[in-house]
Amino acid sequence: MKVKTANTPKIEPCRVLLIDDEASFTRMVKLNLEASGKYAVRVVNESLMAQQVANEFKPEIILLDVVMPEADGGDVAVQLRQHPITQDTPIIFVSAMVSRKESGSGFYESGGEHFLAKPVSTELLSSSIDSVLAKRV
Amino acid sequence: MSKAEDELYELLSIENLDNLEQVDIKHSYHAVLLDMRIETSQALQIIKSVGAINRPVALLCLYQNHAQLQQLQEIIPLVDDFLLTDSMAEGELTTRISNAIRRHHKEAQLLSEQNLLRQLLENLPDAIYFKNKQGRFLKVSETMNQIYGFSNPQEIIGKTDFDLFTPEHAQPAYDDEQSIIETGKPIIGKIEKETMHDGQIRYVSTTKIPLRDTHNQIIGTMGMSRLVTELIEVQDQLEREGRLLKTIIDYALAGIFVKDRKGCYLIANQRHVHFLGASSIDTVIGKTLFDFLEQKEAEEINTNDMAIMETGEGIEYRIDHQERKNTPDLWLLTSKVPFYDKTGNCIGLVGISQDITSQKEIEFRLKSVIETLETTQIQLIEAEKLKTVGRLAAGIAHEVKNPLAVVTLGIDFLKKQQADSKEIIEVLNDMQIAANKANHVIFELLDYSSPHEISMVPKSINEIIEHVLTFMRHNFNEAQIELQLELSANLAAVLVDTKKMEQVFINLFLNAISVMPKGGKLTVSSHNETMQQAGSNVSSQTTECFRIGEQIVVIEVKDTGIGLSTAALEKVFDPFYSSKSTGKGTGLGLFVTRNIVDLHRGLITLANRKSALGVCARLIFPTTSKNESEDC
Repeated sequence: MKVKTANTPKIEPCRVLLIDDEASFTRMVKLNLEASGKYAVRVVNESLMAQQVANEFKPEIILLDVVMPEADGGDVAVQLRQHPITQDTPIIFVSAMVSRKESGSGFYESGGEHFLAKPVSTELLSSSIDSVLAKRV
Repeated sequence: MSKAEDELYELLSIENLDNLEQVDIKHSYHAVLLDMRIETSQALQIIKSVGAINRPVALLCLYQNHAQLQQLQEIIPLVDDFLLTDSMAEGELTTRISNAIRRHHKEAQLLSEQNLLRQLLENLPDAIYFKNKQGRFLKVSETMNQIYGFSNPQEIIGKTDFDLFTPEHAQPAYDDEQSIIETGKPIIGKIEKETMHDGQIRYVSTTKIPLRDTHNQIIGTMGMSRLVTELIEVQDQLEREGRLLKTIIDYALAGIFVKDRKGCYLIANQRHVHFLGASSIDTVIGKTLFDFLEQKEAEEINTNDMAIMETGEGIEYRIDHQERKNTPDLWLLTSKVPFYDKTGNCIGLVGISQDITSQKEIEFRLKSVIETLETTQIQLIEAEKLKTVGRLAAGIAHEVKNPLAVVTLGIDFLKKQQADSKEIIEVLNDMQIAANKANHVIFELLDYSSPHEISMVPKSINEIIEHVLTFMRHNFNEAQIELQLELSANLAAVLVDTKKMEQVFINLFLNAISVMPKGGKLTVSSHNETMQQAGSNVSSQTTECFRIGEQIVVIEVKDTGIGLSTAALEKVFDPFYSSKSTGKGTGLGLFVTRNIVDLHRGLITLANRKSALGVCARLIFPTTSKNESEDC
């Protein structure tokens, strides 16, 4: 991992692919994450386009909404994990369909998957991304 | 004659026979003196007019010579005395008249009595007979002749009973007569069976008395027999009907009884005696309901009986719950009718009862099943409602949380942009708090039934049980439930969330109280055990946690309620299932209990007790000796 601290703007930002059908949500996440300078966020609002954009963008981490109209988060995750370009890319599921018991503080693991519960603060979003990426190293 | 008139007699002398017709001789005079010197034809006419043999008047003829009498031979039997006019001594006339009158009266009396006897014997429909000492008929009545088929009255004279009847009747009749002759004691109103030689059977009521001569010596018997064949046949018929009725009453499947106006039993058959819980028919006759039933019921039924007898209206069907003094209760279907005497007065009532206890029990069971069904229906509707709320909550959560996420992130972004403006930061903080509050509400909605955070500490479950009992003891006292604790002194510690585990026992104890509404006994025991086998009643997936040889803690809670049906045992842990009626139980108690036990990696099973009525709840928990974090 190239990025060591958040206060080194010269270092290339982390590529984050955000797949969510809620345009207002994706816009806010993008604004907040990119405001820190640590992340470059690419947004996909139509889940069917996810693989195509991912192939081109080559994200280091993917934030994936669970409930979406065309293909849901589960379907998209299966597809991404089968593709050579994205098969090793970590995925954090972002969902509104979790109870507080499941989510705990908001970020949690279940069945080997990482979850973030909506609504989520920028801080938690950022720390969760960092923690997942740190585990991979 | 004039002298006689002065002393004793009033004399009417008729000399002109033309005046005779004006005199009522028969009724006004005791005697007629007829002078035979009148013409013979006239004399005859007078004698005939005075009367025949039964005349009340004595007739004396005065004659002068025997030649006069020769002409009147035919009237001699009709004349009481003949007086020779010229040869009468002084006073002879009055003496002769007196004697004639007396003799005439005696003869008339004798004739009258003979006539009475003759009429009796000729006309009485009873057989009358006189027999000598040898039993031979001396005289019999006309009826007797007719009965035995003799046309000539003399034909039967000299015969005996052996000539008329078979020896079966003749011999005892003869013996009876000999006994009367010997002792002088009569036989009165004896019913005798007579078998005639032609096989005909007749019954007679016979009265026999000794026949005595004028010196009061017994010279035979006399008797009177009245034919009573029809009466006896009616009696036989009545007796047959009585026996038939008795057989029907005795062996009927229904209880049959007759009571008098006071409610005392006149008749009760075996089955009715059984309904009353009495030991035998004898112990019931003459008694009343109050001797067998509880006061209140006896009063109710008795009032009803009295009303029937007063109004004369029978009850078609009446269902009575019969709470008996020493035996199980009964349900009876009874019909009763008033019972009248010949003159139409109500003298009691007749009743027939049918035992419908088993039908009633089915009815009650059916009612209870219907109630259960209705309750289940309500519970299902409630469950469906909750499910709908759950789905709605999930939908709302999704639809609200997404916008909330946007708002939250928007606030984050704006805070960074406006970090120098204190006012804006304050506004944004307020917005953040508001968004958090909204988020909290959504969580509440989603978590409405989920347990709170758990904190596990190693503890003896005995401690938890004892703690729960400290504040529930009065509940048991109030419900008159005796507590028996059999807690093992060295019970191994279990990892528990104290509050939740307390909830488990609170639920179990509350259930126990609810199944023992009339009091009972609750036994709570605990002991250490080594897991031997999974057991047949293990159904929860949690059992996968237990391994053979593992140390476990076993807690048993046993009540003395009525137990649970197989169907109930299957469903007892389902959410919203409750054996309590709607409104009393949420149906979540055991569901929550099992969830908590599951949380503790334990196992709870419910079963009916084998040795007694009631339910045993058995809980198994792994001890802390095992690594708590080890995955199942």
